[in-house]
Amino acid sequence: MNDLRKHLDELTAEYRKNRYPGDLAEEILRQQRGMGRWLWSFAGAAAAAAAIALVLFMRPENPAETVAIVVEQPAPTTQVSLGDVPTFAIPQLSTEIDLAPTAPSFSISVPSFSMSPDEQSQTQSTTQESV
Amino acid sequence: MDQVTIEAARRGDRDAQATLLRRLGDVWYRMSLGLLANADDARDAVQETALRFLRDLPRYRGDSSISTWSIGIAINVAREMRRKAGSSQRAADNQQLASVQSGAEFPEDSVSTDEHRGMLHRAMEHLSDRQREAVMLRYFEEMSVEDTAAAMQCATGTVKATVHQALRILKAKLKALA
Repeated sequence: MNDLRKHLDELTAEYRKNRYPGDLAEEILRQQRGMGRWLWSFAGAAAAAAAIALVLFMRPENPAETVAIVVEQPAPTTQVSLGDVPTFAIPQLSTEIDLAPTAPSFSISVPSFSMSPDEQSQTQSTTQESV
Repeated sequence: MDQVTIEAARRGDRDAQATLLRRLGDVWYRMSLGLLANADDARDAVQETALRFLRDLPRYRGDSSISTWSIGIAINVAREMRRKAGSSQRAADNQQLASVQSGAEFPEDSVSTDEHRGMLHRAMEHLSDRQREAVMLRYFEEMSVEDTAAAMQCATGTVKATVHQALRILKAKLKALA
């Protein structure tokens, strides 16, 4: 076992001589910084592309075409004096004109008939049958 | 590692984060190199560990030391990289490990010809991933059984058994190479 221990100690000494070849912290942190910078660049480029796309999308197809914006405004209140209203001359009507139409008068004369007793009874029977 | 720096790093303070990365980077690199056995892979693993460390830092509850907690992240990263490297190589390693445990001689091609490597270093290559992790944490990093268990995300009993098994294999390997 002593032999083994001696060999182990020798190997331990050899093992402990090994050092990382380079500056690990510098390599890793620079790599991370580079990655962060790349991500920011990518994000910036993506944002710029999105902005350009948005502008192109929002631009009207016909530049001459204008969008009418209707703004409701209260009607202007202008005071009009009666003196400004044009007056029209109405012809004076004569008060003697009868506005109601005059109905023509006509008379109807109804002739009188005299019935004989036979005709009278016949008329009565006919009336009873129909009832 | 002072609590003020840790709290500032958790809030996103860059200087505090840099301080933590500089202090922990070497431990992560040693662990990754020992587990992956390749300098380039180890460097990649450390960078991935650092990124995860900063990402998960706001969720650090302080149950274990920040060093132990971060070594757990490094071990997970190394495990994932080994898994990606392929299971075929691991299967070959396990086959070799089985031959060691059964007392058989090492295959000739498994013995490295690199003169700079010691016998134990070569023996370490024949440990399983878990055994190597346990030995590195317990002996090379001189961590307690509890901290080793926390970093490996297993029970303390598992750590003790794994270390015991690993030492037995290493002893057998040294005897075979002597």
